[in-house]
Amino acid sequence: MGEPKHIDTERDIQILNSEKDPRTKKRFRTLFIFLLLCGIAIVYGVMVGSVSIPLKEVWGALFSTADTVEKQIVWDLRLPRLLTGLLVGACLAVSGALLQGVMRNPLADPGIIGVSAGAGLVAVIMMIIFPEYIHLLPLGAFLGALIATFTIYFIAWDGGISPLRMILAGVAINSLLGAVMSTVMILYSDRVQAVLPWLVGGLAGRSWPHFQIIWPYALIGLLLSIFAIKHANIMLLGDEVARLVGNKVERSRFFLILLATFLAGAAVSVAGLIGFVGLVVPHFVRMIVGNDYRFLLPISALAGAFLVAFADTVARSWFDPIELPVGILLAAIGAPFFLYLLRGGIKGWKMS
Amino acid sequence: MRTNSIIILLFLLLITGCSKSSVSMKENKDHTARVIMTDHANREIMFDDPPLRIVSLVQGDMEIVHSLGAEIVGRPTVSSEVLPKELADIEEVGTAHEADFEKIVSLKPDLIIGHAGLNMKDASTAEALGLKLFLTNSNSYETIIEVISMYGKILDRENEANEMIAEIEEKKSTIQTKPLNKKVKALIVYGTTDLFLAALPTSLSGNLLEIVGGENIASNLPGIDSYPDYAQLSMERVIEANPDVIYFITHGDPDAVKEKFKLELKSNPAWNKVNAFKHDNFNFLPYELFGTSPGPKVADSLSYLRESLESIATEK
Amino acid sequence: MENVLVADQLAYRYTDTYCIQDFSISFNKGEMVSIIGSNGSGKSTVLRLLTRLLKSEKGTVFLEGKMINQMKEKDIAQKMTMLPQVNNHKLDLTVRDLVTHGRNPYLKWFEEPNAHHSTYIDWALSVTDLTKMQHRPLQALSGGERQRAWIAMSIAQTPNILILDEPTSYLDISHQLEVMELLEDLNRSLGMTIIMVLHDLNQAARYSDRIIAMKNGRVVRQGKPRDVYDDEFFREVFAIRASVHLDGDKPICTPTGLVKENKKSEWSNQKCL
Repeated sequence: MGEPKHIDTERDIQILNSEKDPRTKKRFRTLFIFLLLCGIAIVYGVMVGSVSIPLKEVWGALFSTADTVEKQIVWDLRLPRLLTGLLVGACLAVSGALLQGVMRNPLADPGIIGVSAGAGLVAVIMMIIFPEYIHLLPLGAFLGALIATFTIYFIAWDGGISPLRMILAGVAINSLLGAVMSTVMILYSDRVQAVLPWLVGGLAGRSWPHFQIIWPYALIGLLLSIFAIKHANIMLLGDEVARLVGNKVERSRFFLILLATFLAGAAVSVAGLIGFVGLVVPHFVRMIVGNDYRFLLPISALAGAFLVAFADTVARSWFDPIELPVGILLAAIGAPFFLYLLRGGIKGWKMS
Repeated sequence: MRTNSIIILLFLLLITGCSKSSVSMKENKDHTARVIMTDHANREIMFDDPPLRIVSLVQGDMEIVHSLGAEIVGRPTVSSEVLPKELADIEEVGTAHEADFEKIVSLKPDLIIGHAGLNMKDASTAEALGLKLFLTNSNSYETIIEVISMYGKILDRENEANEMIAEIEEKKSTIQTKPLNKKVKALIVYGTTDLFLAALPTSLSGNLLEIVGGENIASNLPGIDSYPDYAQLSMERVIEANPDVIYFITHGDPDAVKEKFKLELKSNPAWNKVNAFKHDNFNFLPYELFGTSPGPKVADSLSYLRESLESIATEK
Repeated sequence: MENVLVADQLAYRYTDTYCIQDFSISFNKGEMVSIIGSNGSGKSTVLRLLTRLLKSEKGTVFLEGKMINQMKEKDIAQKMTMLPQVNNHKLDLTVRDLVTHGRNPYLKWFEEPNAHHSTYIDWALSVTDLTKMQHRPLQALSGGERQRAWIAMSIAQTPNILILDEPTSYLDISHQLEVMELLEDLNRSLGMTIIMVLHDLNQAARYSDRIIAMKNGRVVRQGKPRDVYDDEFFREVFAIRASVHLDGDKPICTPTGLVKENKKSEWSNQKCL
């Protein structure tokens, strides 16, 4: 142990003895920056698109009552899609942040608890075999996610849940569901085309109906996650200490997993299997503001919201006339970025 | 435990409360429309006046509508080489997979034509935008004829539609009156270099093959009827069925697909017993006539396939 | 004397040769007790059974007269807590954040600590002399300071019973004394019952009212330090020879060598049934 490290100057000592938590300022600054970025993403997202509308008319379209084409494009296409993107990003990032805490594993993301596999299988079956019920797809995907997670949870249950067993059960169930999904896709290969955009995740063609599906779930989930903050922080102390301060560890863990599934399921149900947001965003935010969920959770929500909304705007406008699914773009950005974090930042991982 | 049950209740409430379908047809039921048409996704669409500005995400349907004399204001993003000159210059609005609704809205269409399988997901968006979306799926000769007749009614151009149908039916019956010299066993392969699928009788090309008198070897395989339009076949089955000719439909590089397929066949020692190899009968079917709905060109598709079969039937 | 914590016939089995059986013990209010014994004698297991971190296969623990299995987690945590042996050194928390968690037993699942709780947090920080460092990250503390921070979290729970598993291991001698003096102070001034596992026999003797010696999952000796420490005791429990002399009424022992011919004793090589 010995003496504290990295105390070289008087200034450092002053910081250490300061009246307030020295990281508070940085945390609030980060919170503010991401709030600002979300605002920028909204303004930018409303402005650009495959049909170019001058800024002045965008403004007019938003606030006039006249029923113009511009108003329809801005109000019925760009705005709901942006809002949906913001919610999807926030849900995925919060879900990932919670799971990384519960599992005490930096690689945990909504995929590992079966959300992607469960939702994916149900979606593939509905789109391929029962296309007439496609309007129930969001609900089906959501239920698929919940069922898959519960299956993994109960398989991993052995008088309690160990994160490691949960991850192993997750790998097994994920590959099983993946195999079933591949089988369906091979048997119906000619219809796979309809499924692919959903499997990579995207927001193309999303409008108010999709926003109406996600917002109640997202709102409830994000509100409940405020109450999850304290529990997630206590879980960081380890199971034993958490119990010793009176926390019912198993119950907390169950509800945190349920909440994470709920949030990820809501996102997946309207946007398909968007990857990397739940993994990379909390990771990135953690490096800036640390592990304290009082800051990690809200900042992750904002960062995720910004990332998905902005990336979707880029995906639909920069490559015109082609529109990329935002899931592909996010994977293309996310994978190398994650490798960068891994190489430079694994030392910064302060979780376990 | 009390808090437990409150939370569970909350979740249940949410799941059930929010599950009410947000898709509902808001059409006014009291009012009688000029035409009520049920599309291939089983949706009832009402038309008061014939649509004047039409956006199509489906190439075949666009050509039908265009031939019937209606105005196309938006076309699918496809290679313009395969389109008639006057259609090639029309604004592109994306594909059936990824429709660009901003462009579609900016074109102020009265009707959007989409694919029943691919564009069902866009129905709620179209409805929110107040746009009429009509979904079709032309996977057989019969449905193409049906679709032509539907557009005739929708566009109030029934005479033109009936003429078009009569013309196509006539060509078809000319072909069908004369039987082939001998039976021709054929296989239609739909695919890329990585994946070969056999067109089953339920697919468009399989259906056309049957109409012109070819024998689809994929239809004789046991249990095949439980599969949808296309299926993956083992090379062993192909060799066993011994086709006289193998057709390829691809939007990739046709020669590469053909060579890859031959290579896979040759991995089976019995490959040289296959009749298609004896006369090197590995032919391509043009994508715009067979890969996607040919629309009004369906008669051309029939004659193309018929001529090819005849040339094979006359070999020795 | 009032028994605040009683274990009655506990049993726990790790393997067929390593287990705790028929284990009974009781602790008096305001007592400072050390449990000693060689590695693998079951000391930490007993602490975990007492704090229900491990579930006893048989028997019962009574906390202030109530069966611990029928108590709510938070009620237990208000009366008794433990500082486990090795705590996570990489936690990204400030001292105050950590101590705040000590108020959790008094909060409902949705509640955050309010001003009322802050007075307890401030108190716990001042008792452990950490007020000035309350906003330092744990990582920037020395080992002794960090151990004090963990103790501060425990006493923020205002427990009647504080259990510590080797609180002085890995600390240098001055930090060890710092921790021991703090515990003695908590015991004297607040009447807190303190139960700890210690490896240093002289510290155990110096700071404890009672010594409990364990071997092979059983209590082999217990009593006042000066009554317990003798030649027979060291040979039996640790298989060493040691000379003992008194400093006031506290015994001090100096090990002088290992016992070569290990006489079979009645406690060794016990088999689990």
